[in-house]
Amino acid sequence: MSEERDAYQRELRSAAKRLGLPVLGNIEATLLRHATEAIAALSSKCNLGDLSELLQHAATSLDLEIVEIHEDRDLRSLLDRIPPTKEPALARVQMELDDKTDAIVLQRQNPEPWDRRYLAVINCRTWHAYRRYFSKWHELVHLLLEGRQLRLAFRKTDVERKHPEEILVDKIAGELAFYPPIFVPTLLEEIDEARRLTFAAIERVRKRIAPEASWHATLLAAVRHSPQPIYAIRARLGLKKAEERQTTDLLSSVTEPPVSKLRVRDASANAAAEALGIRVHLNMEVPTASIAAKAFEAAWGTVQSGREDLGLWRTSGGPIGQGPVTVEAVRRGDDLWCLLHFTPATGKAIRRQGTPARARTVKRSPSKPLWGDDAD
Amino acid sequence: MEQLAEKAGISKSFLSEVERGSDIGGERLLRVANALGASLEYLMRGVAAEEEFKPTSVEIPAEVNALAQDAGLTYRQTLALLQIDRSVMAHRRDVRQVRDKEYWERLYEAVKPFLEEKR
Repeated sequence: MSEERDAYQRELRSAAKRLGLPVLGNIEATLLRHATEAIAALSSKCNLGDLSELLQHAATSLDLEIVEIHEDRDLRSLLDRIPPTKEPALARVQMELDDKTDAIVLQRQNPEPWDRRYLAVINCRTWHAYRRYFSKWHELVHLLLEGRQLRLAFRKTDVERKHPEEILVDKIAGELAFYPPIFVPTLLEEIDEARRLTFAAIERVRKRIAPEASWHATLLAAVRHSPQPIYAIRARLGLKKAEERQTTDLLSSVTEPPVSKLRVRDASANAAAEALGIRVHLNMEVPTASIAAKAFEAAWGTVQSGREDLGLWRTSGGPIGQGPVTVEAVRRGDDLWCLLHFTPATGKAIRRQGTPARARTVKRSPSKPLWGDDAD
Repeated sequence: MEQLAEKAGISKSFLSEVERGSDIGGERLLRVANALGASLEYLMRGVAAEEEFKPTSVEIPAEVNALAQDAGLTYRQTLALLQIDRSVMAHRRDVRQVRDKEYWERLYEAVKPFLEEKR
């Protein structure tokens, strides 16, 4: 973990130096501010309808052409338009755009004077389509962080998603993909309309200003920018760590196999919820009496909501808090998605009981972006 | 002209004025560049953007050298193969791709027909 953190810090320093930014203090915040200011400068000159338009303008400004490949026909059409005889690197794209690849960005060697110099080929086949909006922002942020001083001789061309540069780019892309000056006003309108952040409100926000974004990415961005204290939770059936070990231990004396229960796999809190000091633990069980558990049993896509007492949500150390919580939950595939809305009363109840507030509520490794499609 | 005006969301008469030399403004220029899929630099200056980085020296990896000998590649073809590899700036995938002998052979097979012209 410490090695990962060091590598990430090195990447931050190197990106800041490349862009002539100060290598002091919170470098990640400096880089994020740099990228956001670049987008803000562009946005201030345009009357933008939605975030897709912002993305399109940003790509054009960076001399980047983005091509989506949904099926073989799209790739053939790209190769007809830019034949490998003219741009041999396209033959490599054809060879490498496989199921393991999200995107390939290349600098064109023989463009016509009117062609854009950079070409991002986004894999939208099968499940990759789900990530396409984020992938476009990701590749664009690469160019922004290069300052377009492309390190052709020294660059890392084949990068794993866990590479420090990719983690940094993911974080910045996550912020820009839901550029707050466009995203937040629409989000607040929909929250006002629904009286709280609901799945339906999130979907309306997505359709209005980020139609290309995935449901999941929009959900996490909405939670992050919501002024109300809220947690987004993803849960699915699974075992406790000790139970998992038991199942693989050939010498175990336990004869009855452990039963999978609905457990928290991801939990994201916004700043307002963190301030309440409530902590949803990873792998904790979703209470069977909770509305959330009922939603998991219901038909796919059926939203269940209502109020319950946070005291239901327990770990081996006791309840994670007390007081009213509004729960909204829906099952999508094998996952249960749940929004936990706290009220000021929830926080007060906890403080009355003397539960210490904790500064950090969600444990994350540096390889995991705070939000964005990569949280999958 | 009509198609372009429609695609860019600006009026045909405005485009005609621009053609006669009126200032187009940043946002409209972006819209035209988007509609045409063209380079902004070219629309602004009428020339291609300058290449930002040109490598001054080339190092040929041992694997490429071996492949060049086996396949009988000329120096120009070998450089072209390296350039094809280097023109890919980012390739985001699940697993890191190692630039071993097998990688270079696969790349060579994929681009072989286009290297023949450079003999």
